[in-house]
Amino acid sequence: MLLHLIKKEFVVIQKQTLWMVGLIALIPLFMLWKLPQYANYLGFVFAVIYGTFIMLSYICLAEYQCKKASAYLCTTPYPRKYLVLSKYFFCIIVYLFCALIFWLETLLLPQLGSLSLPLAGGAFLLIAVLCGIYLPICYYFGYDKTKFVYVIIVLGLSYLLPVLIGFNIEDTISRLFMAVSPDFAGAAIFITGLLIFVLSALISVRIYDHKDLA
Amino acid sequence: MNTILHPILEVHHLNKSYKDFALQDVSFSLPEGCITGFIGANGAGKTTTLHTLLGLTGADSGEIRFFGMDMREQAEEIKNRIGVVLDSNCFYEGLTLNQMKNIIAPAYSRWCEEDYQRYLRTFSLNPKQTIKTLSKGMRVKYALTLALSHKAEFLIMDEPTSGLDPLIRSQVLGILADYMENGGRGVFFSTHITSDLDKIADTLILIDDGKILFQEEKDVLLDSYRIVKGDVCWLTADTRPLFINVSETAFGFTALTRQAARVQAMMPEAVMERPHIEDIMLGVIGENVPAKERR
Repeated sequence: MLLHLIKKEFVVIQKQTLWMVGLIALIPLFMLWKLPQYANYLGFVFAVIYGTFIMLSYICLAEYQCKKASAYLCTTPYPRKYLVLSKYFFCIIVYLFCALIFWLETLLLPQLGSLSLPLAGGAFLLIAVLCGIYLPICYYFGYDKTKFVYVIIVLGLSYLLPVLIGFNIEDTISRLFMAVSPDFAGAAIFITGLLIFVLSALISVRIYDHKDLA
Repeated sequence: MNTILHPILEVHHLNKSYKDFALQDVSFSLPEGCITGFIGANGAGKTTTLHTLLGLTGADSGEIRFFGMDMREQAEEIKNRIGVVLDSNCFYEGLTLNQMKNIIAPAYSRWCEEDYQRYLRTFSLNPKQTIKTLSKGMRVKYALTLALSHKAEFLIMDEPTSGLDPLIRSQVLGILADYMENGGRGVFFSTHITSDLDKIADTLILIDDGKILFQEEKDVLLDSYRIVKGDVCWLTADTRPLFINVSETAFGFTALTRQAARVQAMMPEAVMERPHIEDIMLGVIGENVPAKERR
């Protein structure tokens, strides 16, 4: 049942998915063109954040425009919690897709560097924190009252670019976890991100379980 | 072996409050094998009741049982056995009929693709058509298609004929009658179009201002009341209390009564007619008005 609901998320925004795939692929290439020395981690981080958040915003918008569709799904045997969990799995799948695209690009363009575990883990943690905070708030207050968050994140990233340039995830993780190998640290960060997702999902499920869908 | 037959739907002391409206102590029981019309004016609480039955909104208190099972404990199993038709705008507009079906079908263990295809043909629906291009009548037919394609034992419908032209309304009502003939165990649909109930309903439940005013078999209800027409001068202090919803003009009065025999005795020349459901609904709701105004 959950798989079908995850598939539903992609089907609902099928028209936007195609050009988002293009955007996710283009961001690292654009970074390579404009800021080649930072293309590795900025390219991946931006692709992940833009890709995940914009696609999530499309889904939330579609749900908001067809509010009664979610209510109708709740009259079927689909448990309410699956409608929530499908969005979290959607975010993780989009992240994995971004990682796959970036990894393929690093194979084709060695100038992009490589997709290391610390970099992948750090980006995953970032997405976990952003989505983990946003989704429960969205479920509680509704998309209409929280749609500005997308604008803030997407525009904010542009303004934060100079700060992010000076902040290298891979180096930071290596410094913070000097006693352990970077790969081990990256894996630990991945798991932390997953735990954040799980905690956020539990909160969202609880909120949605009690939500009035009338 | 003794078989215990449960009503197909039982609602006991259902309460649900909003800021300006409340369902108050709603209780009713639907027998198997009946089409039950849930009638009331706009804002009476029909949709709120249906949404509470389906778990879309939580009840403040009360018990809801389908097929003898508690909705709070066995929701998934119950929902697998009921077909639901809500507002016609309850689909993802950008999807095709087949894409929407592919989302809904896996939820049901008894989904029947053959039934789905057959209903699409019967209703002349194109599975590759986008939902947003469907007319209102086609959307209702599509919603019915989905509700009828998983061997549902009980149908719950929220104003399925609202906004439809008479031809499509007639088709929808015909489908409900066929459904009951072909193994359906019950239909519960809300409406304020009483002429639909005249044609198809077996039992009627009237709700007004969040309270159930009556639950009655349609034929018994129609036999209990009479429309009385007569001279205004026949309305005296003794006769007026026999009537509900009296309408007086210069040419005479028209009123509803539950005491036809007494009226006949006191006004032998009065004309008595069998009422329509709408007459009874207006009369009974009119009796309920003083209670609303007091609040």
